[in-house]
Amino acid sequence: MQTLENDHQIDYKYADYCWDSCYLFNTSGRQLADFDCNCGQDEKYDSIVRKEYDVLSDYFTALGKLAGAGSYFNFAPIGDAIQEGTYGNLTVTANEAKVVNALATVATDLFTTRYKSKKIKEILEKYHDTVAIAMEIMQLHIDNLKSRIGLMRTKLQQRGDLLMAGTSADGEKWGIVYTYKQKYKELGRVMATYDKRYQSLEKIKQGHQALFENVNDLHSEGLKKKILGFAYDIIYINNH
Amino acid sequence: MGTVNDAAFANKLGHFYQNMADGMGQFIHTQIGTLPKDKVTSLTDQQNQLINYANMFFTLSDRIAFEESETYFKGISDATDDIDKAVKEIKDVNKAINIAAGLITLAAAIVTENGSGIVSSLQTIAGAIKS
Repeated sequence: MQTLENDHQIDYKYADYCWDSCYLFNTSGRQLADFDCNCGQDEKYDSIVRKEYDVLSDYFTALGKLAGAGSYFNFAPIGDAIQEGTYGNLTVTANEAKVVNALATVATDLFTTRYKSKKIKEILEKYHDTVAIAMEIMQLHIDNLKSRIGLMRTKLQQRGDLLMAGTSADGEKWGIVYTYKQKYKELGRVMATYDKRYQSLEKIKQGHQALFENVNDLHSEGLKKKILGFAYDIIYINNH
Repeated sequence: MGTVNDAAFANKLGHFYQNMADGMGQFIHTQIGTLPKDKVTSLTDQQNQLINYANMFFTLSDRIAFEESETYFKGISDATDDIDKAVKEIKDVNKAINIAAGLITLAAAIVTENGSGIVSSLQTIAGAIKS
């Protein structure tokens, strides 16, 4: 759950990408202030992706509540449904909206009605596929953004090569290399953060799969060990 | 309605074009000192187009799908390994330009949902690789 909520802590999202790419893909050498970088749509899209994380987080929190785990609850009910739509060049598809809204409904139901722990089996069987699809969608979001950041690095290298070939002055060359390296490293750090997020989601997905496969024996020692293993993996991924 | 598989294919295609753009970039990086200026300009323009298409595929999600697209997408998937390998091994600038031109046509065919264009672009690329 903390992994899902941590999206709030990644400080480089689609809107940040929009600002960076607006500048990087324009090679006129003008000042950033001269560009009309309209990133309002990307900010809206960021808020929807965040909502999707919240929905998944709520679902797992609700499962935890049913299982009797009371130590970590931070349930933030989703007020309004996620709408399909286009935000600049980004899209929330009909399929995505349907899946996320279904999960939001079940999470809210689980928190506001008096379900008993024996309900877990029913929930896992009914919503396993929906959760798996939602997780895949989140992973695609992460990978798409990370890869677009990678494309900015490709563009940086191209600009560096062209500028280096066009000058013979050592001072200018040093300036080009230094600027290139700094931005290359900065973007690399963001990509590494998204890599960790992707891997953590994969572990959560595997954990949910394990619960589903052991739905008739949820108290088995083997399952407990497996789930603990995933939890340790996530801690390891996020600490290295 | 598109599926998650379609969205995953758009992502995969984005990676493919990203690799192609990186491959072209690597070629430019190693050859820039010896290539004529007009060739550098051609290659750079083509690399920019590959980057733009990669960017587009990373945003398309399941909107990439169209009628019978599954068949065409399979044809693309079957060809990507060979193209990937060829771009990594390119030594000749004209070959690089021809393969890149084929890739750009292929991307245009995909985004305009032109099935026959996809097939003919794949043939063009295969021809450029063999030449």
